[in-house]
Amino acid sequence: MKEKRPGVYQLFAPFYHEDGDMYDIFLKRTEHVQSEDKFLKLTDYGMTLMRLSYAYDLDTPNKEKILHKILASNYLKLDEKGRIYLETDLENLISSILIFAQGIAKVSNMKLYQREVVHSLFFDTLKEFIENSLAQYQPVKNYHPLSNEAEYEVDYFFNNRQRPLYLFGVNSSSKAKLATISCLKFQNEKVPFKSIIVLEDIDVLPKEDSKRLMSVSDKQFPSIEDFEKNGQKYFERESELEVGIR
Amino acid sequence: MRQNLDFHENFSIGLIYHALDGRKIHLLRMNGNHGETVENPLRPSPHFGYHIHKITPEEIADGAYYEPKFSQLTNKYESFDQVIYYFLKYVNIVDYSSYFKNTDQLSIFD
Repeated sequence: MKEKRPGVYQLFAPFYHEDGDMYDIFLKRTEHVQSEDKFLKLTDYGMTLMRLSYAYDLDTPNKEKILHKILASNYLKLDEKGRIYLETDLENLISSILIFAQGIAKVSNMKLYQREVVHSLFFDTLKEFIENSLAQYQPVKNYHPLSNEAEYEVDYFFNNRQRPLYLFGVNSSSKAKLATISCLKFQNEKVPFKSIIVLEDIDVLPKEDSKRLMSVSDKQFPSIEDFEKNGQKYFERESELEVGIR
Repeated sequence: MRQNLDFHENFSIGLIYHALDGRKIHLLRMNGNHGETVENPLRPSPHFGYHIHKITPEEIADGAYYEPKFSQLTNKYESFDQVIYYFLKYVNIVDYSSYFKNTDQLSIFD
């Protein structure tokens, strides 16, 4: 322990954030003693939320709710200035320090909820849905319709019908452009297919990319959630349509 | 830019790269004297003082964008005002004095 300010002691313990910075844990006497037992206060002086704000904003009621849930589950409180704290006594100081450190770690990990992390899970989510719910349509991953041109790739190919379905997962501008170019190429080469685009989130795709994609593709799902909700029914209708044509 | 209200020596200024594909890569972070920092928690060799975190190519390749592990002590600044000035010059912000007034003027306490 080292006195940071009169009466405020900084704890130097081997609890580190991922970048090697030590957890900010301070010990002081409580300002208003509620009972004679709890006269010590562990606090971070707002440093945890300050660090969290480098990568994650608590800018919605939902996120604040999650924060309060994490704090409550870990016996921690938050004051009006964003300082996390835990009141304790000498007898329980060690376990309180461990609980406090654990709570700080969980709050700090809220940055894992941010969009970029969710964004990186898009293709995992798409794969899981297709393998679990569309297996009967015999999906083939990473299909190349043009044997001599491997740069034109389809994320999932469904060959259970006369006119196969080509599915493209799109979660970025570059993926949107690639899907657009691929569809145009296949159309120019007179490849028989019907294209399906599954967007991670239509609202974050640049308008121009979205327009181009809409112009060349046959069916678009505006979000992964929409595909999960309606994808199976779409495939059923497409199969019935094909049977009807035959 | 962040500065703790209770401990003015606990501050942070960072540079984040916003990639076209949505990734946010924390390239650099200049920290105040907030306590101990180590490069490897499994073999802690703590150092104390004002320090700078920088991301490495290996971290970028691994997708570890938010918490650059490499850190080195610095004596280039000792206050929030000083770090702003140092940061703006370090990352080469063009025409920074238009956006950050009086940054070139050190306070009487510096």
